[in-house]
Amino acid sequence: MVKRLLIVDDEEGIVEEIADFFKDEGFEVQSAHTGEEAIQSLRTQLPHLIMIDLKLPDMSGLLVLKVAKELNPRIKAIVNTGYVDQNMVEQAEHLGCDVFLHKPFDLMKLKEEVDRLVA
Amino acid sequence: MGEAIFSYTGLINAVTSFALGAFVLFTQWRFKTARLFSVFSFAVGYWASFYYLWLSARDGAFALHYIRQAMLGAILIPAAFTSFVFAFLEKKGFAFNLINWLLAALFLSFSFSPLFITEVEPRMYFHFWPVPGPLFHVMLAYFVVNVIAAHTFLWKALGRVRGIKQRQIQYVFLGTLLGFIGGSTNYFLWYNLPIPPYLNILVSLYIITVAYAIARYKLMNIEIVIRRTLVFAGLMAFVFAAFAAATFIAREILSRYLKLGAYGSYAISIFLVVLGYDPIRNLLLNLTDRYLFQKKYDYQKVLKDASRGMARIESLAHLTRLVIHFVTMRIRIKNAAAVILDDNYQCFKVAFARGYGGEWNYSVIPVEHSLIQYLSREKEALDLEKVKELQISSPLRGIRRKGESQGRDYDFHAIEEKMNELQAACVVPSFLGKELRSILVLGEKKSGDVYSEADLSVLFTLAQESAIAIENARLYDEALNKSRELEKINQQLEEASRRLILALNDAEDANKRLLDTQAQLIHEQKMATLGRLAASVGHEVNNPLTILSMNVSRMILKYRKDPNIRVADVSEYFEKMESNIQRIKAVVNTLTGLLKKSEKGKFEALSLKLVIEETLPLVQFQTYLDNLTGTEVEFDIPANLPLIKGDLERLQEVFLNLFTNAYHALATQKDRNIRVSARVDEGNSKQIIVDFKDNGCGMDEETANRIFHYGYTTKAEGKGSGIGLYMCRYILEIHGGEIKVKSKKGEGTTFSLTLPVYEEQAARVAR
Repeated sequence: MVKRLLIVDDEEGIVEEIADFFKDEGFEVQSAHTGEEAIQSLRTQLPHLIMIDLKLPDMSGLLVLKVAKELNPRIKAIVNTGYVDQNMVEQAEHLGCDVFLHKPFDLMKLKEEVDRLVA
Repeated sequence: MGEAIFSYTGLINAVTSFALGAFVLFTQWRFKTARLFSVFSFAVGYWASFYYLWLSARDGAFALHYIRQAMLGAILIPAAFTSFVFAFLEKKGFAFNLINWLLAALFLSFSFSPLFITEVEPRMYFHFWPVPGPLFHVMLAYFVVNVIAAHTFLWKALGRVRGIKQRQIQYVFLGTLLGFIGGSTNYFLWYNLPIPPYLNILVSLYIITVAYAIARYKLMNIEIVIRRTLVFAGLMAFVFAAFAAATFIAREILSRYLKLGAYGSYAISIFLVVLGYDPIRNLLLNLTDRYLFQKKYDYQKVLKDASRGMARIESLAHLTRLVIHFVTMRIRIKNAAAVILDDNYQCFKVAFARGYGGEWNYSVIPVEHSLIQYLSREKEALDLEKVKELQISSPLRGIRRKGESQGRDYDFHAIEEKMNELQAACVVPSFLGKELRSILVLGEKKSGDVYSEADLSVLFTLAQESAIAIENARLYDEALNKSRELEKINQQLEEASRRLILALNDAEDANKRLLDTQAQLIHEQKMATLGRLAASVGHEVNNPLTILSMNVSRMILKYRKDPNIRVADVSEYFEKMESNIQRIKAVVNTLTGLLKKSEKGKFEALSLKLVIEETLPLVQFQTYLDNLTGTEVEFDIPANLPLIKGDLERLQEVFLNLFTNAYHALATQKDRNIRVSARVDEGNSKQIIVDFKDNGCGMDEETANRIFHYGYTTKAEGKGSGIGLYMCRYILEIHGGEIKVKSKKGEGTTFSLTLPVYEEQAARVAR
């Protein structure tokens, strides 16, 4: 069964790289650049795993996480950010975030985590 | 022979009476008492003169005429005496005196008629004794009634009054009584009683007692003249006595042995007069001095003692105490005080007082006071009696003295009041040069005696002597006080400087604490700024780094799958890596560029435009988190705006804060506009005004008022420190400028900043 990923990040380059990589690995990848797009996508089709950048142009990534978990708590979530704020980490974990990654993250590490969560 | 002796008593009586009457009249004519007294004296003198002529007469007709002339004087005596007594006792008795004088006039009109004196006949050894007519008895009765009445008044008055007046009355009473008793011895022979007028000489006693009263108790206010009068009278008496004696000796004794004749006796008498004149004069002077002016003798010693004592005293307090003590003990007075000119020459103050009760209230005497004025100008001691007299004698409150071209006005009533307040019987001024410096205030004598002219003159001398001593003492005290004051001031200065040092230490501590606090604040602010910077740098750098890292990872994976992979197949990755490296480089360059500029140092000439423009990238880093893209920033900064003087780093902090705040205020709206404009202050060309305006949410007045307070923030907890604007204000203040806010809820906010123009440039422009 093909696993679906939703990548949410305002940084075009990052979304592109992750999407390309996981497509190559056999995942079905959706992408969104804003919170709005992400929520739209979630409502259309639930992914197995969502990867959210906390800083989005229109809203906090935490909100997207919250929406996703509300739609289906079984959705795995990886939250990442370039700026570490312990407060945010706690909030994310509280909302059901499974893994918290700091930018810049290692692609292999991401792969490991994704494999672990959706295997 | 007997007749001659009695005739000489008449002569002495005449001379002394006329002399005293004349002196009193000439010196005291202003006073009714004195005028009436001289009338009385002249009447006595007139009577005594003709008494002498009568007894010297060799012819019955002359004798009759002279005795009638003598009676003319005698008729005037009672009315004159009673009038004098009335005036002397300040008694009203106009009708009484009028009747008296009318009676006298009635008797006068008959005095040459046989009704008064019928004839003269030999009685005892008098050749021409008068035989009284019927009217004589009436006149004698009138005479006796008057004398008794007058003395009764005097006696009654004695019980009423005190002090000087009492003494005066005593002497007038006694003197005139003796005089009248003496005179009355004339009348026995009139009634054929064989008693010759032995005591006729007593008439002169009234003169002597009155003269004594004048000298001692200021009756009639004469002093010096009385001495001369008495000496003169005494000398006259002596001269006549010498003549009489010579004549007597020549006639009665020498004529038995040798023929001398009238000229011979004259020669002898002249010889006697020449021989005796000087010794007699000296004797009389001595006698008057000793008995009338005895105090002067004592005072010589008093003065010597006093001045010797005073010269040694240095302290004013000690000296005044000494003077007052001396005066009270020596003169034996109830109370005394030394009143001394105040240091500021405004008033006289009591320096030392003795003998006053516990509740003695006195006030200072201003220099304008009549008492001071009087003493300063008249330069004489003043006693209460004199003040009273002057008050009466100068109804216009001015006195006109002999030798003075203008009268001077003194308020004698005020003087009397002041003297009563000081409990002074007399005041003695003391001068230094021409200036009144101190006043000796003397109370009543313990004896109840009054101050005589002699007292006053001695006291005056004493006061003058003491003036120099007092001045010396005053200067000594002044110097002493000055040195004490200086010492005190010195101590105060020392204390003040000690306190100042303490205060300075405190201030230094406080300043240090303040600096510490400020440093702490700046650190906090820096940390906050750094934190925000770190956040934006994190995003700005971490995103490209992530891409870079992922590209590297993916290339490695591709290589593992196919070790023969060609570069062309992965060039896409390289290009991405290249572009992301450029991004990172750009971020790093911006940051280091900013840092470099801020290292340049403090307060330099800066272009406001550049400062703000260079702050913008920092702002963008800062606000990176806050989704504020699309905010329009508009600049209106004239190119020719003068350079400002400022600290770049600090000013950038200010603008960073303002931008950050503005962005936050704009966060909730779509239409975002920030406008920064600058201009030279119209009111002060050395200042530039920067208006920083946003169209954001604005704030209410309360917030606007508190916005610059430390720790005040409207941002959510954890987001705002409440330090930013506080720091802005602080930074502007250290620049010598200020920051104000104008805002309205919902209509945006304008911060107005003033910054100093860089002076050198300003000066160049002005030239």
